[in-house]
Amino acid sequence: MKDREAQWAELMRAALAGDGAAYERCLREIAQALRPLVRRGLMRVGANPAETEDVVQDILIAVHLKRQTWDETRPIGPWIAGIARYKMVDAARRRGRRTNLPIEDFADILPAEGAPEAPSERELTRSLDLLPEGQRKVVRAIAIEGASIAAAAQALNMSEGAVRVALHRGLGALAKRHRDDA
Amino acid sequence: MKTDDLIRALAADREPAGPKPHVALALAGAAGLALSTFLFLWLVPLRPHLGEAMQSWPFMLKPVAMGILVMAAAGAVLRLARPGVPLGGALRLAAVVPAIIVAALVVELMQVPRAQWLVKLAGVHWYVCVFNMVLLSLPILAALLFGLRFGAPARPTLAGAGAGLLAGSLAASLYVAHCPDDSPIFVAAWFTLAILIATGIGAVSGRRLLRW
Repeated sequence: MKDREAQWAELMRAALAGDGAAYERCLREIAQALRPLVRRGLMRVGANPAETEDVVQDILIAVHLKRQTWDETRPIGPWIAGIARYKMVDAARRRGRRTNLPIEDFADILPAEGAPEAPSERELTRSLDLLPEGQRKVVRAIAIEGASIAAAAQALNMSEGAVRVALHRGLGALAKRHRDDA
Repeated sequence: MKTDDLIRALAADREPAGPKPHVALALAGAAGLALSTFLFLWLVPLRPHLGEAMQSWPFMLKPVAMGILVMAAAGAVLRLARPGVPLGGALRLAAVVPAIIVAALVVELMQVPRAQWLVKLAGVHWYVCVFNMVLLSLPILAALLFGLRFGAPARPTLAGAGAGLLAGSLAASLYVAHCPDDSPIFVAAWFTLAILIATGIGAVSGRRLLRW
């Protein structure tokens, strides 16, 4: 299990140095490890386990926007676990439940048992609907249609710089979407 | 949006991630401290014969105790700014300070006649001291909270309290250069009160401002 953490750390280091493919792989593996843990946590606090994917996405966005807070000299596991736990508590609190998640559950975020869990079927399109039109179009083109920055720029008749900024702001807005109604 | 789609968007976002939390905190803290220092020099005069005072133990109790508190609080804030980093020895180091002050207080109470205790407690103007120390802590606290927003404090209230403790002890360290009262009775009561107020303001603000 430590090997996997070491592998994530390596991928994340490569990602921070600009390797996009390593970054994507790193996030996918983290998402897969988080899923069963988040589901169990939600059930424990009496929240709806159908929200699992929503919370996993919150954690991934936070990992991305806060990636500069990982101290590369420290193991990456506790860092991810800290972010995951914070977002879980946040999700539970939004539902007006007092919660006391035992920290041991998040001390080791690696799933204990076998097969990887598939994401729930529920599609989370509503999160995009909250974005202003410009950001929504850019995020949709890149995330759902799989366009590159350059292709999105051409399709939307924007400069590449404007696409980059809109994407970044859109992701920031997705991170904040829960904060205002809490 | 499916998680795979989100991950694609996250990987495509190459905007810079912002400064490391310790860099942001150091720069913001330095700016806040500079502001508070100007405010301090404008607000009150330096105490006369400061050099002489530095020869006496009741005076030196103040900078030494505040210095330890600053180190402990700074360590705590830096650790609280990152998720998954344990607090470590910061609290134990901070606990040394009340121990020193209580020891000094006991010595003082044994040396000073009981009739003088209240006089020592009131000092020249204790309420001005408390007010000014809290006032001087505010620019530093605001700057530290700003710096902490570049981090990801998993415990926002605690991180805010740590920032308040650091701001309060830095403000008290500044104020030592003015404060005419050296009795440990005075220090134990009013320095403590001022720093606790700053810590409380930090905790309340952290809870509101440091969510991410």
